[in-house]
Amino acid sequence: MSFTFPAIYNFPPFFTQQPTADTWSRQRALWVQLVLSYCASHRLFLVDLNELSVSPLFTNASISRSLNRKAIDAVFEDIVAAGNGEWEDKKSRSRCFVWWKRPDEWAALIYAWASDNGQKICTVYEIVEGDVTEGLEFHGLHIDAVKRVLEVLVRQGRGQLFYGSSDTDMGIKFA
Amino acid sequence: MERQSEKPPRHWTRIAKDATTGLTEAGRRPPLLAGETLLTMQRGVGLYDGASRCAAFDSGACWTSSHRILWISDTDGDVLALPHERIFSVAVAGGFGQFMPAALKSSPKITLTLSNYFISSSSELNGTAPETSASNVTWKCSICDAYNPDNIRICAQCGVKRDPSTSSPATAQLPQPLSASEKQCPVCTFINHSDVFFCEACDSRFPSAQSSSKLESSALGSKGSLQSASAQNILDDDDLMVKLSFRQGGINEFAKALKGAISSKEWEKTQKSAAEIDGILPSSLESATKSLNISSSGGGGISGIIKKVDQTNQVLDKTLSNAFQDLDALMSKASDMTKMAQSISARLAAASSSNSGGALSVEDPELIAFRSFLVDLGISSPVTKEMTGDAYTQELAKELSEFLGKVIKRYGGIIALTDLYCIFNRARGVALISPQDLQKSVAQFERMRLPFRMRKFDSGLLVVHSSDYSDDAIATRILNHIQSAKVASVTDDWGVGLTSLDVASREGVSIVLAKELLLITEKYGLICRDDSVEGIRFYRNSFVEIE
Repeated sequence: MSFTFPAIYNFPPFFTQQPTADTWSRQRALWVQLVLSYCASHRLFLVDLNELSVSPLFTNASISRSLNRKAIDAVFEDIVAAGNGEWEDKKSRSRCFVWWKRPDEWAALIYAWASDNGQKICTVYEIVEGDVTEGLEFHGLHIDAVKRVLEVLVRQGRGQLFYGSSDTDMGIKFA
Repeated sequence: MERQSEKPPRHWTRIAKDATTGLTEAGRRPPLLAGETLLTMQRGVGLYDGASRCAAFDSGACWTSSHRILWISDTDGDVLALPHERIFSVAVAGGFGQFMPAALKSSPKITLTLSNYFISSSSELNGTAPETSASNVTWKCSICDAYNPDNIRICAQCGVKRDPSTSSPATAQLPQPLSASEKQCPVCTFINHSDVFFCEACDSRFPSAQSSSKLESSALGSKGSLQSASAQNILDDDDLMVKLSFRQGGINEFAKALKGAISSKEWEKTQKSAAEIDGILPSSLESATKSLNISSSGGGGISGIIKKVDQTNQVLDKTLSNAFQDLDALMSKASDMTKMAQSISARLAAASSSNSGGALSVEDPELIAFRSFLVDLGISSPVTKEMTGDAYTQELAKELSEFLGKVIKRYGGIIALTDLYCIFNRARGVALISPQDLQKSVAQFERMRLPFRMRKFDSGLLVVHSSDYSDDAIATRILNHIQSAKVASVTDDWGVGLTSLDVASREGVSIVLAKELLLITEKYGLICRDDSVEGIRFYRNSFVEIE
């Protein structure tokens, strides 16, 4: 799957944290957009900032520029603040769920699939790895991410979680 | 503008009243004649018309130059002048009652006695009424037939008021002198010798037109104290007196400078050829040698020792004056040098403008540089501490503002303080100022409402810019540079950006200043930076344009 970077990706100042506050917040907004579309395109659900900072997303080899870690952190703060991300580790802040679809959107998709196909009870493994969801959007969703989605369904009163011996054994009973 | 019509006191000539110049009143310095140099100034000087105070000319700055006394009003732009050549004598009256209530106290005054020799000619030139020319004419009382001076209105003998219908009949029938050595009394017709001032028969005073030439000669001779005292009597008349009241002190310095200026007769020199200007130095040497000769004729004893000490002192003095002779010569030549520089630059300008019509319009860069040097050498009468005393900083600020008005365009309207220090001192040529003085005067700009401002950038860089030189204007200009750079490189969508070095060369400013200008523009959000290992390049702020 090839991802086409926007034109701004080749703009050298894009990789320098701008000292002017207004410009910097505008720049961050552009970065948030780029990160979300990049993760959606690469189906990244949980990202490690240390890995991502050396990925093509934050390093443009053609103009030999890269965004520094401080700026990357600031971009992710914005993503989390906007509800498009969630720290997996709140203390060290190096791993982050990227909700390029928000948890409630995912929850709605899964619930719709379940009710369409008459699924009453299924395990987490079935939802993200099972043959029946092959080709569906949430197929391949990160296991930790899907747990958070299912918790949304529970909160909405549309399901009930049950726990098995391991994470993949965990299941949901749709209401 | 009711003040416009205010008539200056007698003898004073209004030489300028211009609200048209960009300078505020506080920023005005007196306009100078050719070869004229300013000597000293004192604030808080009021003018008197005869013996009475003039309300409209009560507070101003009084300058003495080599040629004139100039008075500049504090309230409006009035500039009045009184040429030195008209001044006959200078007297200082030291005021009293400094600790008394204001109503009782009197400020020290300088009383200038004018020689009426110049009145008729100068009053014609200046267009003021020749009201003083008839000052010594007598009138005859219609009651007791006594003769009274024209300036009193009541007969001194009988106290009856003067009848206007019989005003000054004496002058009307004034007969011509019989010969060069004789003159006829206008009152009793007795024929006197031309040297006397009072009729030997009736004791009446002779009209001034004839006595004044004598006064001139007696003043030049200046040895007969009796004679000059009597001359004083004749002219001791309200009509020939100009009073300056010094309410803020400084009278002694002013009087000293004024006397010096009058005795050196600088105005006569400018009329002569410039070659004769350095006549001052030989005369000082001459006096030194003369005094040496006197001292060598001493005797013995204590007086001999004293004389010997004196002699050594004088030899020391002479050595010193010899040592500084070159410096003095340079100072006295400074105005000549300035004049020469101006004439050369004018000639160059003429030459280039005649060239530009033809194919040879491209100027030699050396020629341009040369001319700019000449323009820089442009302050003919630099303000010094000795001249202005307490007001030094203010006067320096005015001079600086005038100078900046001429040069700041070449620097794009903004100039670093250090650069200004260099070019300003180069323009002064002599009497260099210290960095502290410059900084102090520049700090005065805002308070004195001069059209320039000092500014400190975040980096600590101090600059001076014209007050209408706003950040907006800077930002727009810098953005233009950056956009033009983008057009120049069409290969890349985003252009290559500009470094502060590029901007410095485009703006003709120093790199430090260019960087500050870029930072201002960046603060406005018009440009953004690319900070890489190659340094900082500035680009147009494309973030705000993208959705």
